[in-house]
Parts: sequence; structure tokens; C-alpha cells
Amino acid sequence: MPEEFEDGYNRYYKQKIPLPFRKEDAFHIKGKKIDRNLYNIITGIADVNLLLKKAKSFNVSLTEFLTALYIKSLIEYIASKPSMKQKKIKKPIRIMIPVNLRKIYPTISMRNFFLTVMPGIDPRLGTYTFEEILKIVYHTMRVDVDDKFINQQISRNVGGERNLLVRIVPLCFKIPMEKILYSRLSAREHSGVITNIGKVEIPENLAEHIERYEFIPNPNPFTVKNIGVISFEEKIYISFGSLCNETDIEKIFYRNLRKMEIPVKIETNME
Amino acid sequence: MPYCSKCGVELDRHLKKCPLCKFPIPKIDDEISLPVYPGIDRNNSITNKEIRLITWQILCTIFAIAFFVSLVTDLIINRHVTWSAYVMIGIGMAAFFTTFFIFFFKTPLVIIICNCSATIIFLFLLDHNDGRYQWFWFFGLPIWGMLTLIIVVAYILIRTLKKPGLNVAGIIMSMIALFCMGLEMLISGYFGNLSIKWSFIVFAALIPLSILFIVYHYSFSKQYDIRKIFHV
Repeated sequence: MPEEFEDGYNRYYKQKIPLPFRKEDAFHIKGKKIDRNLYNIITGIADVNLLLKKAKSFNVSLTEFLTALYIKSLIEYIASKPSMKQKKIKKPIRIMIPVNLRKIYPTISMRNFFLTVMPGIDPRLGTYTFEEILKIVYHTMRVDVDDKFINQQISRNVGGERNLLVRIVPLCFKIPMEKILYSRLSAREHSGVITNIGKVEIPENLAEHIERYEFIPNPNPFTVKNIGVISFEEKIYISFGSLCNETDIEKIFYRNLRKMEIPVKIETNME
Repeated sequence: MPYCSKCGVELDRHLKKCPLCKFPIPKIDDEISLPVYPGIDRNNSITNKEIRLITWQILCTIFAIAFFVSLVTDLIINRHVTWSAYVMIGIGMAAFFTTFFIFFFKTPLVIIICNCSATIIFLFLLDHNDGRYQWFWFFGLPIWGMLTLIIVVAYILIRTLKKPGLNVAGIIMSMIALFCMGLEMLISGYFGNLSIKWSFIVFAALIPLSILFIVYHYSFSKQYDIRKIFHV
């Protein structure tokens, strides 16, 4: 079907919309990068129902709960550093969360059709309790997942693509330029990405042959660590993809999960 | 199933230490250890250092081939070394440059010093090649000295910047303008007619632009985001 190849962004592009404000640079994890061709994965396996129950006890969704927990872990990571270093690295913590736009703009396109929201806190303003972080994440998700703000993002992204000057430039020049722009602009604004694919549902007769699904986030040299979440049957798989050997953030994150009385099993490809 | 007593998490059977806190896990003999993930053969992954070394070896081979081909061709045609001396000096220079860039890419100051030294040797050999010194002492050496000074000063200035951005372009433009002025003064001075003509046009074009960049960087960049104008 031709609609399945449709570019949803172009369809819902609106001209003459002011561009979104650029945010201040966010906190970024520093660490010695591992060798080329290597990618460290640490997967935490937990009971999805237990985690959902925990999230519901705070009246938030699972993604919001994990985002808040990750932000809390990053705050604790910064706090664990010497005070001189803390001053240097203390910047706003923002986590990028992809949002499926099909819920806002109906389309049957099989192509990518998502944008992101970035809930976050500024640790320079003071200390935050977990409930406070949850409140910020919860409300940001509701305010930012709004067709007007989403339109702004679509307008910014598609505007450049439609620009005649940009279109006449050969792709081989544009691709390296895109990488530079991503590193200079987009990657600076967030500290990490949490992508929750959700629950995988497949026919029963197929399910019995499948042990599990795991969602490995793509390696990103700017954020260093990203999280991919997927649930299948009764389990949830929270995978950290990391380009450094330091595991302090994963340690704090899974320990926090454990402190909330959620048993976690850890698997890794690290030696 | 093994547990990490520090993190409180359950661990995979094959793990010898907790991947989170590196705490050693005592071995449980009655369980068969089966790795969940296929082990990574780290011997097969090429490190950045090895890639640099391979690149250097390939380039050196290419240089060596070009070196010998030009030498042999010259010897066959002329029976002794004539034009190939220039080619060989050029190849040697390229080999030096490549080596410095590949092995000292993390220390730009070393690259600058090494490449500047290689350049002066190259210029000297070029002029020395025909047995007469026609230009090295009057032009080669002073222009080289001026250029080295300009590069080193620009490098030091750029390194001291707290927030590099458009101010880097400003510094580079100022240095180019100064170099052009010095170059014209040197050449015209040698011919006994010390004057500033074309370099003043370069100076007049680059210095205001450089000032604009520096002023924009320090004063206006916070107020007006030029990137939004270009949809980036």
C-alpha cells in the first residue's frame, strides 16, 4: 500500500511556526571509551508485573518510573564525585524519550514516525526526592506530548529538509554535516535516552518457541550510555548499552531498583 | 544462582565477579556454568593503535614504490639522478608529514614542531639540490620562520580559549592577515622597495571580519542564535 511508505513528518508539516528554543547543554557521562567494535551491554531482568505495580503505586507509567529512576541514579552518580569535579559536571539532567506520533497524528506509514520529549531536572537548584523527580517527569510528559509542541519539532526538522539550498547539496556532503549538527546541537541537550518498546505480543503457537526478546539501544558516543526496555511474557529486560567500561551508573540504577524491593537478575557481555 | 551481596542482584552463572561493582563471586561447583552470551573474541577486534599502524604501513609502502619508480626511471633515462631528486625529496617530506600526523595526532604541538622542522629541511634540500643557494636564505628561511611563529602563536591562543567557537575563526583570520602583510614586506624589502599593497586589501578584508566574529562570539551569541535562522 502506498500509504505505508508515506513520510508522516512531511504530511503534518506546518509552515511559519516559530522554532523551539534551544536548551542549555545537559550533563554528559564521561569515561574512557572502549575499543572500536566493542559494545558493553548490561541487562537487568525483572518481573514486569512487579515493576508495573510499583509504577502504579506512584500513579505513573512504567516509562516515567524508569526515567525518574535513571535521573535519580544520575544525580547520585554526580553526588558520588569529589566536590571539585561535581562543580564541573553539574549540569541539567535531561533524558530523551521517543514518543510514537501515531497516537497524535493518524497514519499507517511503516516508516519512522516518532519524536522525542526530554523531561529533566537541574541538580544545581537543590536536592530532589524521588517523588519530586517523578512529578516533574510525569507533568513534562503530559505538557510536551502536545500537538503544538510536536508541530514545532516537525517544523524544525522538516523545514531544513525542504530548504532548496539544502536539497541541491549532494547527500555525501549532507550526511557528515548531519553528524556534526547532531553532535553540536541535539546530543548536547540530553544526558541519555530511554526507549521503551513496550510489551511484545506474538501468537501463542509462536511464543512457545521464543525464549526472550531483548532490546539493545544503539551505541551513542555522545551520551555514552543509553537504555533500551522491552517486556516479553512475564519479564522486563532493561538493557544498558555502554561505550565505556565504567559501570557506576548501572550499579546505582540497579541497586535503586533493588532497594524498591524489585528483584533483578543481571546478565552482561562484559568480561 | 549466585548473588552479589553488595548490589543485591542475582547474577548469571558464568560470571566470576559482579559486573556492576566488580565484587568477586564465589564459585558454585554443583551448577554447570553456561554462558548466556557468546564470548567476545577480543583478539579479533582491531584497536585504534593497530589501525593507525596499518594505515602508516600502507602509506609508507606507497611512498616507497613511488620513490623507487621515480629513481629507477630517472636512472634508466638519464643514467644518473636528475629530476628524481626533487620527487624523492617531496616523497620523503610527505612520509614525514604522514608519520607525524598518524602517531602524534593527540599532541598538535608536536605535529606543528615536527612538521615545521621537516618543512625547513625540505626547503633547504630543494635549494641545495642544484648546488647553488638561490632563494633559501633570502626567502625560504624567513618565510618559514614567520609562518612557524604565526602557527605557534595561533595554536597557543586557541588553546587558551575557554569556550572555542567563532572566536577561533577570528584568530585564524587575524593571523592570515598578519602573515600576508609580513610576506609582502619581506618580498618587497628584498627588492629594495618596502611597501604594502595587496596585503593591505587582505588585511582590510580579514581584520574587520575577524573582529566581527570575536565580538559576535563574546557579546551577541547568547542573544541571537544564528543557527535558528539556518534551520539547524
